[in-house]
Amino acid sequence: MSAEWRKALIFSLIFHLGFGLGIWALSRPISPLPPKIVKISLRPSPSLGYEPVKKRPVPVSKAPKVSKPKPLKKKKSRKKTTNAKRKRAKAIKRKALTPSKKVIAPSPKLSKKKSKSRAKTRSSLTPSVKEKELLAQRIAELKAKAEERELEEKLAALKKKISEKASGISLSGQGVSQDILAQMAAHLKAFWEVPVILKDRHDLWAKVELKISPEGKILSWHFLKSSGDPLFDQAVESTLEKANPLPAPGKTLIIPAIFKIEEE
Amino acid sequence: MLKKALFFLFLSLLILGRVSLAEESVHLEITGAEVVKIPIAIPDFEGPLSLARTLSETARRDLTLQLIFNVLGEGLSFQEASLFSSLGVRYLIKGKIYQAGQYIRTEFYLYDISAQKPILSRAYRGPLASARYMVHRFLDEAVAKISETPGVAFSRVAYVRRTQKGDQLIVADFDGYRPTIVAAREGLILYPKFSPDGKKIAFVSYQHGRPEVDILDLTSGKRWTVSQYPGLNASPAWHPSGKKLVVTLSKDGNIDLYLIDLRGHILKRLTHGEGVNTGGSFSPDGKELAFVSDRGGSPQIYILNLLTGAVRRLTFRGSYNTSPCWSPLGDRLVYAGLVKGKFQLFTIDPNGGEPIQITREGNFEAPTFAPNGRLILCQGQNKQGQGLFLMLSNGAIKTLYLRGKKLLFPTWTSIR
Repeated sequence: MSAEWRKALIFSLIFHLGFGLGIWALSRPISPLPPKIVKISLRPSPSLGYEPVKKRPVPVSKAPKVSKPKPLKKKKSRKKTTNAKRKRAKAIKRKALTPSKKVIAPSPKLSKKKSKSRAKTRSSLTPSVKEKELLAQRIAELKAKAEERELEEKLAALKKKISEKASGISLSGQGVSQDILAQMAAHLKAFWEVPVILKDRHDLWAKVELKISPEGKILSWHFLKSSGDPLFDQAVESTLEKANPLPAPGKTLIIPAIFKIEEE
Repeated sequence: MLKKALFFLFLSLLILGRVSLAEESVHLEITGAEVVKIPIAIPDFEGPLSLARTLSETARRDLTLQLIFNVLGEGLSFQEASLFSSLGVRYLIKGKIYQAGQYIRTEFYLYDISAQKPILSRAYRGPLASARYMVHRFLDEAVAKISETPGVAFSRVAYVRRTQKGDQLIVADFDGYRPTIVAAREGLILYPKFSPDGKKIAFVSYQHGRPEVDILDLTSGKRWTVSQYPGLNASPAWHPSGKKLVVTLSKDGNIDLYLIDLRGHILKRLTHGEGVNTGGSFSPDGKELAFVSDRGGSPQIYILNLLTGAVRRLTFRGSYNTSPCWSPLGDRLVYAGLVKGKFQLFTIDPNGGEPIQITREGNFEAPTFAPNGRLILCQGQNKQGQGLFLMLSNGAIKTLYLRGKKLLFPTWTSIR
């Protein structure tokens, strides 16, 4: 008796989780495409490094390079975008570990494969399918393709983020190569100095948000988190003054910067 | 099967969480700050040549002694200010002196070069002899403007100089001007301590062959003995009110701390024979007293709560910790601790925690905090020489403040 009861509980748990997940997955494709910003992707062509960023217009759905420019139905074109996005997500993830160049050039093979599997996923989600079926399918898929899920999840997170910041300016380095960010940080670091009285104050740190023009000029900035020590905050201010302009990111950029005294 | 499904669900949720975290962390990170002195220029003041030059030198020395400034401008005029900005100088001080007989009028301005306008301006007038105090006053305000904490130019130090003819008690302006011997030729002089208002000094004298605690009123020159009990009379420590002292006495057999008033009446016995108890420094609010006791087997710093009488041990590192001095800001205590046979200075949070060692070579003892809590003065020696040392409270900069073989027991007060 108790065993049955437990079974029922587990089943209901899974059912609800799966149901929720299904709804969520279902709602994803339906949601309007996020603002074109997505495209911004700084996907500089491999041959050019980050230079081309400057030229890159921010057109919406022209996923460059993604796959053959076959004319497609609306639905399909959407898939493509998604695909592009997915690649971006992947690229971003990898960026942390590898030089950006490698990241930038996805192998066409890979992308094709992905888009196929993606198409499958989507078809299973059409609203016409009954909920229960959907659920079963979903769970089966999950089991079979944990990896695929991971990708999707990342994609969703990315989408969400982008739609949140639909200001027309990309956020937090998105669309700017890691190289440029590293150059900016190095440039700021060259000017980063604090009064001697703050030596050993490793507890101090401040976070500012910089708005940087495509040419690298600091258009504006403000503290997201003050260090609490006026001298430290002053030092940040004067560092930003002296370091202006920064290496050109090629596009307007809003990015947080964290200042600390000690070497990491 | 169900378990598997659950597992994958869980896994995907986990991944989702991780990914969103990773997204958050895209930012610039600027670390490894260069530690610098704040560049500031004091070109020669305008006015009667020799006076203006003396005062601008006074101003430069005042700022240099704050230890956080890189002072420039000697021999240059204010008109050459553009030169300074090209040197990366952020602040500029301008002075004008007008002299009429024995009276002068002064005007001082602090400029933020990037803002192109004075951020502080002051004018003073008075007798000629007060000219350097006008400079001190202005600079302390300027330091506050620049670094949020007032300077210590307008302050005074006292110390003991040991000579063959006996000890001398010397009082001087912080910039070294006008050192005055206020007590001499009386054998040993130990532990001078300025009263909180800076108008009196309490110290231990051996003028009658045995120790006594005396108070000297610096404004009237009056001097009297407050403690002359049999045995030890040592280590006076002023209560922040300036109306009470803690002294170390051995009149009851054990070496203990007693609270006395300025006429020498014992108000309260603070410790009761738990080992040797000596040396003290009050917290700025007067509620707690840091002292040294060997009740735990070795000399360590303890904190006595004067309201409850509770005692807690503050230092646990090292085998010999002594000479506690509470920062006027209340946030740190400085003390001397024995490391490999030599005394080094440490600071510690009065509430406990890990001490920070601020000296690593040489030998430093008897530390005292500056009235602004940012600097420490102590006796000691290192490669620079021997004498009184001035250092930042974080130990980042140390300088030989006053050279001399036997300069001991510095004490420091504001005279603002």
